[in-house]
Amino acid sequence: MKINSKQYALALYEIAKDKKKNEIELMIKNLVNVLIANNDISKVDEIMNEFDKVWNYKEGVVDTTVLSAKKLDEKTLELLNKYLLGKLEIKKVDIITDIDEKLLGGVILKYGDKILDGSIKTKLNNFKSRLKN
Amino acid sequence: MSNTKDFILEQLKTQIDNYQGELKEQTVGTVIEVGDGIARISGLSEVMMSEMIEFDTKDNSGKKVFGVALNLEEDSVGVIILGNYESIKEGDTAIATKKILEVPVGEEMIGRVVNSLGDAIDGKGDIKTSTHYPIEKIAPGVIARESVFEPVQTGIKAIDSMVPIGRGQRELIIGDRQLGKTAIAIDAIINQKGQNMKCVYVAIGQKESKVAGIVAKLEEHGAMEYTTIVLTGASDPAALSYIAPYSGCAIAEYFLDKGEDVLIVYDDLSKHAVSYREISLLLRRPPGREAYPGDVFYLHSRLLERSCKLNKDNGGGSITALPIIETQAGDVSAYIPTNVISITDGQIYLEPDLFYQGNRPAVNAGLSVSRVGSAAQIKAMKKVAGKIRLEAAQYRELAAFAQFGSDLDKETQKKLERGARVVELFKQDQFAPLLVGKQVISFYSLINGYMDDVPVEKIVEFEKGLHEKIENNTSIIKDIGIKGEIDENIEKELIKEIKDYKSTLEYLIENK
Repeated sequence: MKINSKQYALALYEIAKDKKKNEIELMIKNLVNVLIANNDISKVDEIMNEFDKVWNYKEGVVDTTVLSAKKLDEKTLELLNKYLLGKLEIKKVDIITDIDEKLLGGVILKYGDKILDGSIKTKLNNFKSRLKN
Repeated sequence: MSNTKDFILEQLKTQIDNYQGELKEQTVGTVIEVGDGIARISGLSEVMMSEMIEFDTKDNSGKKVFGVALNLEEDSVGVIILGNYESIKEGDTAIATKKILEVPVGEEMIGRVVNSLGDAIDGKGDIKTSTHYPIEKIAPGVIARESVFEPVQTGIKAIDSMVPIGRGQRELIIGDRQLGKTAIAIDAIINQKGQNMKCVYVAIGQKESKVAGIVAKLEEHGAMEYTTIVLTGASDPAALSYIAPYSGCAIAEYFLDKGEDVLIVYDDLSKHAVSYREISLLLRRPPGREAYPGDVFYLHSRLLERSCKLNKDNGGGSITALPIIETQAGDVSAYIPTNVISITDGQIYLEPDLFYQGNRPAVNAGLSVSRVGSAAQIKAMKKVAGKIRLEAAQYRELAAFAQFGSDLDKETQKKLERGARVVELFKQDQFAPLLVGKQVISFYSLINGYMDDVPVEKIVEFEKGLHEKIENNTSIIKDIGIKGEIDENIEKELIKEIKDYKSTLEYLIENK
């Protein structure tokens, strides 16, 4: 039976969790050998992608992108962090910040496959379409 | 004046103060693959089956592109794209709208030509309706229904007498290409004028020139006053063809819910099956017989099951469906024709031989049936039609037999003569539907022998003259339409009129 990249990633997570660094090094070496033996070495990029997802899911980590018009200060980020932790019931939030001046103000949160759009730009657009109707 | 101005300004200020842009969490996904009208999207957790997906891309005309989720798989969602898919790129964002695909419905749709999303394409401006109906709906159950009893008058003699159609029935029109399948449906629509019927004509993957011709014809006969046309052209993507009949049915269901009667024509379901096959194969669903997917039966059964006759408690409306199937070289045992034959309550089978012999409409009386039968005929028609059907059947049998020898006894010859006149009487021009009263008069004079001395080639002329005379001198035609039966008075008057008319004719055959 063929093993898909998701299964490789899951297996990798299962053997690697709670292990020390030098142990992991050995395991990775073995995994690469297995991949070569199974002729699956070309899947390595996919496996890395999947592993990222598996790790985040199992460890309760959510990657979040925060889009804002201006650079946010520490305090705001802390607030956002707390808000997301409470909302998603997870252990950790990895925040990546990004700047888009077109937003005018407010923030857009992207986490998992959800979007929370609190930007001034969207609000103005909604307001415009409401006035039109 | 300034008071009003202040008021307006004040109102504007308070409205803006009170305006709260609500913050909504949206589910999004990323396009990972796109092509042939299909997109594969990763993400989109919690997306529903046949939910509308909004792409963050605009097409050439600046409109947002929508799709419908059809395949919910382990780590991707298969979406059919409604409209222009060329502008969608890999990596684009797709947003789940949390709405099942729906079309605008309402009185405003009447007289319009729309695409399968309910947008006007006849250049008469946007259609503004307040109501939307989902395109997929579970058909009414047993409790809400009642049996079919009112007739749909198609105005075609061969059909109204031999294969009567009732309100709420599903009658398949089947035959090869170019035998007048659409013509029957269009005649039926034209004849609904003043009969309290709304009509929906769904063109699936049809040539736009053909549909333009149909629209022109309907307009000419004043039939667009109660007709909506749902059109997907041959150049539209398969996704639009696939949803077209469901949209048409949703438009019809609006009138059904208001307790009205609707006639809906699906032209044609073979093309519909083909577009569904295309979509299914692109979505990598396993192919089955003739490469159609496994659920192609359900595709049509769920659509046709929505045609129904509701009982009084549920408004008493009805949807009568006339699905059309095009066969290849008369092969009715192909996959799709057999499916649809088994779903519908009967079929009108059109035969090439009859057509080329000049018997138009080319309805084959032997293979055409209506499972609702005479329940959907007015009494007057019931009385004459039974006999006509018998005469036609006997003629068919004898005609084949009579080819062997010419020495036939008198009885057989008489039957052959009568039969030839029945066949002649069934001939009817396109766009010339006949009132039920006129049909009854024709059949009455035939089965009672009043046409036996009219030469076969003069039957058409005789019939026309008879109708004209009776229409001008009496109210028999109307009376039959209103009363629904031929009582003694009408019968007496009718016989007198026929005899009067015949005495003025010169072409009658002398009695031997």
